[in-house]
Amino acid sequence: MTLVVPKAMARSMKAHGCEGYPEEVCGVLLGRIRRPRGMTVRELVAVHRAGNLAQDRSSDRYLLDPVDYLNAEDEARNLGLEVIGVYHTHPDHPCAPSETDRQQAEQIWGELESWSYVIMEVTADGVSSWRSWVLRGGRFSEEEIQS
Amino acid sequence: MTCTVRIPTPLRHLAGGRDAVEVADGTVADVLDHLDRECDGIHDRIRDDGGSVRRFVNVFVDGDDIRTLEGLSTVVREGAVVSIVPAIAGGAPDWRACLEELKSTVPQVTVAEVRSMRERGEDFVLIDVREAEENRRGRIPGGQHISRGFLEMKIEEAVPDHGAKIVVHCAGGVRSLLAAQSLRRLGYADVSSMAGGFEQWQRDGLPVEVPAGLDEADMDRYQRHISIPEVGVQGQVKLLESRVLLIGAGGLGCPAGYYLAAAGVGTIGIVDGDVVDLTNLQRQILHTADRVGMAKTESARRTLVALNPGIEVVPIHQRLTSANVGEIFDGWDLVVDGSDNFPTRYLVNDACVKFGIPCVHGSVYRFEGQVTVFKTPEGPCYRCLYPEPPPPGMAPSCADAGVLGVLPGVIGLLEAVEAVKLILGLGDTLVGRLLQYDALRAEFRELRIRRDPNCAYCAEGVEFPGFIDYEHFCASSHSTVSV
Ligand SMILES: [Zn+2]
Ligand SMILES: [Zn+2]
Repeated sequence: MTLVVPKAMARSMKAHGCEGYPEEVCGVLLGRIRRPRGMTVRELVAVHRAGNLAQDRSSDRYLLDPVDYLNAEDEARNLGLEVIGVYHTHPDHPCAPSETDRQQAEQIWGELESWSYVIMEVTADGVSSWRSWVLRGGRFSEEEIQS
Repeated sequence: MTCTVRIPTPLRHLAGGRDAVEVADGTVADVLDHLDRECDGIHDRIRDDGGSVRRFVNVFVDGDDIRTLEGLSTVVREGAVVSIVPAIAGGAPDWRACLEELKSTVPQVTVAEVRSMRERGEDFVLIDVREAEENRRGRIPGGQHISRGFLEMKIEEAVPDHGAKIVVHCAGGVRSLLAAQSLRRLGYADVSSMAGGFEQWQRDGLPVEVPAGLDEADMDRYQRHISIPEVGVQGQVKLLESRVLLIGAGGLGCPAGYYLAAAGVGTIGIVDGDVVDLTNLQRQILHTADRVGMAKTESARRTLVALNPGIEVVPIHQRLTSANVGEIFDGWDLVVDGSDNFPTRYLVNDACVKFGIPCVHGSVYRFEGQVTVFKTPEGPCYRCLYPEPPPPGMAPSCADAGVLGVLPGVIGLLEAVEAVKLILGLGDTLVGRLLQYDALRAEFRELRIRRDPNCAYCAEGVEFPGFIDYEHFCASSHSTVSV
């Protein structure tokens, strides 16, 4: 599994993460999916910022505004793309999925293979690292980011 | 009479891949029932056993959440759009709670206690669980190093006795808590974590050794270096700790980068704003036919890490300019210039003078090439040699001039050799000497080059005049020596 992220998209996501710090931010990833030789390659084409409704705990929780999700799906359809994943930040925490991330993703995907979950570790100095994860059979495994 | 139900991406496989399904209208409950009949298995994803909408799903009618309307009894009119939206949520780990719990379950010892245990001659194993890179930069004498990621795999071999007294440490005392806990789970009875870690050890002024060590795989990989007395383990460590910035992943940068990666230069940055073009492949050996159109920096990165996964390659997909040169040049030990145009060459020179970075310089033209090292104040800079660029027209463009495909390989590798010598402090470098190679005559010539005492950029006591508009300075922005 590979997520291809053009530089501009990486910048856009990271900028969002930095602007939001120390709050968690989230957004939707639009793009295309290719399956060369049975592999899954998601190519990121556009980033759609979304609101975080977890206002009471926004420093360590996110709840992506469903209206933004719907708008992202609209945008994807208009561009001939699809939703290929979501991203969120971990302010001052490593960019590995938390148990909360896992449980919430499992609610959506069950035993199925999920889309990309990009997580960025963000500190006062900016985004220090970022990784992408895919839930399969209820467990997250890391996928390669080509940037 | 029908309405449209929009299916979110995660549920589309249950709707035969469709992003919307037309069903008969009614209340939201009716619509969802109709949807259940259309799409096998979708019921459980949207509703619980009692028929209510699951907590993790939102249902919208024409843009309004049904929780703000009348829930499942909300009436869906003909032509309306019902949207199913999964709740996408998560969060950062509740790290503080986790840490507090660890601290209460894993015994901790202070740096002072570890020290006095040693002084008493107590029998215990000190294990450094930091990354190899951190260990290379400095470690506690007499400790063993097992990276956190390999701890479970290697501990049996390192400490066969489960009753042995073990103290683990990391840099600051957090990773060692996690490591200690996992050793305890493996059945090691007497494991503690050193509070404050290596940083505290250093703050207390206790002895630290900077190892001349390489791990086993590196010992193998670099064996032919290590067996040269002038290089040895120390030299290889120097290479691994060095940071070299390549200007351009073109004809010169490719061969230079390839060998520097093989030699174990630990961090290689590549600045290039271009993408791979079919005409490049005649000489730019890091790129491949299937990467035409890809950023050269990314193509180069792939080839270099495939050759040596132990190094870090930093792709900088930008054209070097006066505006970004300060940021891009920050933190490099050495620049290898493989640029193919005069504006960049002057800019690289001026920046190297300003930031005090030695610059290995190479250029090629048809059947000839030249290489030197600009390192001020020991030797001249590029401007001492060429205060001004040649008049436009004197230097033919890349496409016009052409270059024998193998030649940049020769010059690029001479640059790489100079780079390695500079890093290792070996031999006589080309500072103050310009080495010219004529491929047709198969001849090398050497010219002495001297500092210009009146050089506008590097003369003693001269204040740095600042970066200029290099395109304008070089008049024809396309005056290019082909690479
Ligand atoms: Zn998270
Ligand atoms: Zn000079």
